[in-house]
Amino acid sequence: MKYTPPDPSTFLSRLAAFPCCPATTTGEQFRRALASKSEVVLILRANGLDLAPFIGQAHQLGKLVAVHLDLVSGLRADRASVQWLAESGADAVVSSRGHLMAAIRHERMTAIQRLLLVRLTHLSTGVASIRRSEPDIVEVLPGVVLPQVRHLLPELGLSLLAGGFVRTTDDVRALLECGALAVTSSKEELWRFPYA
Amino acid sequence: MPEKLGIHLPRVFEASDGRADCEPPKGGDTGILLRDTSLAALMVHAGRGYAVAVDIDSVEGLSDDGAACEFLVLRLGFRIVLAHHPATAATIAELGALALLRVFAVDSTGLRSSLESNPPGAGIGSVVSPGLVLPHLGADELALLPRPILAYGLIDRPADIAACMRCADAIVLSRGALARARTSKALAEIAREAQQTAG
Repeated sequence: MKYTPPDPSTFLSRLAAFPCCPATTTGEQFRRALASKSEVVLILRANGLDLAPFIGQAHQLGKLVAVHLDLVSGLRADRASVQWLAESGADAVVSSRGHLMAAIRHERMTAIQRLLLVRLTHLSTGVASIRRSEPDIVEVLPGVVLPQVRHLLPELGLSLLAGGFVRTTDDVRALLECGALAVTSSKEELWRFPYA
Repeated sequence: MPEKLGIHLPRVFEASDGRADCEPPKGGDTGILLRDTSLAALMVHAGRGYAVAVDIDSVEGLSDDGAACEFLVLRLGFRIVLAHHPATAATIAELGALALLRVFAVDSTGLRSSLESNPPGAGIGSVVSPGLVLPHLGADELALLPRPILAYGLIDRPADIAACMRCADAIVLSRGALARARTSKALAEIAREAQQTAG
């Protein structure tokens, strides 16, 4: 029987329960993330063609899995790969490509669009793309600068995830205080937050 | 390294599309970074008496191949060029100009893999984008970045400007941010520190 991911509001509340989401880049790190309290694990790097057993393992432990479509190997970021990830059991898909958000939602997964904060003059383009594609969540990168540039971002009416160079509990607190629903980090000592 | 090439890298660049007849503000170690610009605007700023850096990837109509590099460096005389591709940066460096290779620093995983997969060659520095992230990098990450480092993007508030100036060899500011910075005590302190170090 095909797995049905939770609806985006359930995904969001599971994410917020332990608001420092492990971002994993190796199989070992993924296994350690499964042992953490976090209810959602993000796969940044892995073989995208071989994810199903890992995701199944996470589901058995009651955790949800988000996969970064632009970073995993073996997959081209298009509608077919979105379908592949749905069949692999992913609960959410992250991508910078706004045009894939509809496809992700169509597969009943939670759609997370990356917003890269690189230059002020590029910000309006990124925001316009998000308004067009209507993801469920926006992941802001580099997240650590969000408190410094929050005033430059228009109100999007979407939940914000912050990732990139988030290293300390002070970083996490500052991000949550400035409006992020959760943060993503590969720093394992943060995965216990708020108990770290 | 810029000194070895006989090139002076100003501490601060004002970002400009170069279309208005702009010059860097008088006084202070300031130049212009031409970005999101046109070939016609480049011609206006060539051979002027102030420091100009060019972002080769955002000039309408200009490629980033060898011919484009030669045009910028040999024909127009620009001595500081920002580039996205390692091959372009290498060509610029071979032509005797200071090449600054763009490094996208949006997360630690991406930063490391970008530096590992595209190690810059000799005579090539870095443009860290967004520059605002620079003070948040660890010492080990800063050490990976080839010097000189230009911090570019989202640097706006005086406190952030001061923090970035401590980590970078040069920074890029908008005209508004530059005006605010000129009245900032923090920046005056940094300038004093730099003078003392130089002295």
